[in-house]
Amino acid sequence: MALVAPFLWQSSGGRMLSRHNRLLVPVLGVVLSLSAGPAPSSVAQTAPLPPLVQRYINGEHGAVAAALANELQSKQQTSAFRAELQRRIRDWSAPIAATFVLEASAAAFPVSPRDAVEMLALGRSRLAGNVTASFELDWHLAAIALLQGPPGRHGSLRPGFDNDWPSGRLVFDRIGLLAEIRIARDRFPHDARLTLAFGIANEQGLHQYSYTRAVVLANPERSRPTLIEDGATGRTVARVPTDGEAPAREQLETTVRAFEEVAMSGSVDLAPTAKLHLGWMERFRGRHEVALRLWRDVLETSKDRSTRFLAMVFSGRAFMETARWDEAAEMFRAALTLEPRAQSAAVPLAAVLLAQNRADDAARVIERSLEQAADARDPWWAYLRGAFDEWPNRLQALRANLR
Amino acid sequence: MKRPALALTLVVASLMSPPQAAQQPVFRTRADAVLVDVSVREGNRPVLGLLAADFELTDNKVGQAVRLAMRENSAPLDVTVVIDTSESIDPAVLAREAAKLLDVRSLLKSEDRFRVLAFDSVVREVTTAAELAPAPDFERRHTALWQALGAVLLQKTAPDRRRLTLVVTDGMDTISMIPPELLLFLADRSDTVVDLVRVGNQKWAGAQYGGDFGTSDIDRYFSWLLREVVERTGGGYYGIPSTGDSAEHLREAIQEFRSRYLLSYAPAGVSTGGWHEIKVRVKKPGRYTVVARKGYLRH
Repeated sequence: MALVAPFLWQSSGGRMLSRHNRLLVPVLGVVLSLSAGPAPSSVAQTAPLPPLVQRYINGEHGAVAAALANELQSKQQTSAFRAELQRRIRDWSAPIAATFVLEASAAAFPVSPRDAVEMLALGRSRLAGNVTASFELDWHLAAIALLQGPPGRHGSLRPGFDNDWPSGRLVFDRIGLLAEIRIARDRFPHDARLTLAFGIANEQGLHQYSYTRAVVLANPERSRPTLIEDGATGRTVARVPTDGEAPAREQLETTVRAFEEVAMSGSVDLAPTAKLHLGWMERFRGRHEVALRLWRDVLETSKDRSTRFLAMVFSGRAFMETARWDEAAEMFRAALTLEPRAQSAAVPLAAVLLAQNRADDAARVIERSLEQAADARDPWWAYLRGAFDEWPNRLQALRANLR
Repeated sequence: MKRPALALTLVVASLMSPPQAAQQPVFRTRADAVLVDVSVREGNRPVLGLLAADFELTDNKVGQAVRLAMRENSAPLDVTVVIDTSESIDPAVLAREAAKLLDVRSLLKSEDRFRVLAFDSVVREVTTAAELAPAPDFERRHTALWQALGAVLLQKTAPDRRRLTLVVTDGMDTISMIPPELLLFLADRSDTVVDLVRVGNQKWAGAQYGGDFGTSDIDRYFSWLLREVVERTGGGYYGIPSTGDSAEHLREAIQEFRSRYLLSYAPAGVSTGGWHEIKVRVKKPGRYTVVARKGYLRH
């Protein structure tokens, strides 16, 4: 326990312990006693790492998380610990703090995903210019992965994250996350990767309003909500919101601007991805020709299999929506040569064939798709819901870089 | 305002347009004949033994001469059960319902066929209950409801057979590439009757999907759209609580389906192209409930 007081004293800037700080003492006492090494004399960035973090870095994530979980029995303790940690964590090196928040903390106390991304986004800003490119990229992509989706039941990395409804929780969190990413963007307005992350997060936040958005964009002049009535009873069964009620329009415009910025940045790595996303947004705005031109650019410049697949599927969808059946079928078929089991291409292809009065061919496409579905992987899933496959790998890379 | 939503989206407008090079009608026909599955009930009891002369059928308000292509109970059935195995499904409920649904196979005749599809992020055919377990990867656990419905609507029914599809789901789509409005286009051209059973889910009592799942405008729109899709096939949309029994519904649906009449007529006095509204009634005195598809699209 003697080791704890100086630690708290240092971390609170030499002030006397507050009432909250005093509540922390037994908690931190246990946590810190897990450490094999001596307690640090300072938590400044240049000083030895706090033992808790050191243990975490040594790979003892489970022990650290369990200790925290066991000790934080009351809301008061949790709240106090969280406040203290947030004070200290600002003095730790940003990557360690961010990774700690991402991994060790999630099982134990309520640092939300929003906090985690804040650490990543703001920490990344602090690190800009003095870290290696690969580390920066890994860190950044981890932030994107977090924005794009939870690890779900991949299981071990952050078990507390998905305790109930991973996708639903993320819908709420994403709104908060955007605010934090925006802060980082303001500090580094010309960082294309951060802008792209912002756009993607924004776009994915839009998806829950996709129908609203389509309606609003199809008829922007509409001033009254549209009522859908039951033909038989005349009863109103649904009410489609107006422009004013739909939150998506402004968000869509913001997202478009982010993607445009990256698309025009000249970045060989990022521009095709930005154009892919920008095209999808333009399609939502009803600008199908603009979208198709962007996706043609993507197909001419990108060698990435998933990006090319999506450009083909998106083009097929745009052709389908404008009744250009032959071109739609051609695009979906091309996409299936890249990902033969992807139903995001197979089912619309069958629908197009049906529209061409080729019902037998359509049925054959469906039957083949059902046969091949067991091991299907579909880039569309990652586009729409998050790059889940990337997530554990990125965190592993982060951890490795910390050693 | 009647069904204005159909005109609202670009998607619908374009998909409802006829293709440039029309060839043969896509809707199930024999030569120039149109086939219509018709359910006739009096109260909860199916009405059996009706003759062709007992039916009155109009095609775009023009009376048609109908014949019974198949009498009730005479045609072998193709029964397809489509089960939602996505993230939202409670594994205990899934296991319970899957076992019971697979059990329904025993009610079928030897000449009938039984097929099970499951869907999460993908739609797939399954042959054992074990294959209905939730997918291990999170990315496989989304809900491709639109694609599942699209797949069954795009399948074809073999000649001289009748196809009933029962979809059991607790949710709304989260991952499909196809727009839901496309299902209306497919339903108008499909020859299967689709019943959809939406199983309640206690988790949705919380703040899922923006806190308004089940009551938001979008959700209500999708609910309306699903109902419209299945009704266009001549099927129905049913809601049961999470403790309900979807297999019981399937048993009743099969029984009801067997009692349906398959009417056939060669359209006369109506234009060949476009949407044809079908109305069927029973001429005999009585308080009948007649269910049939709402129409078909003919090029």
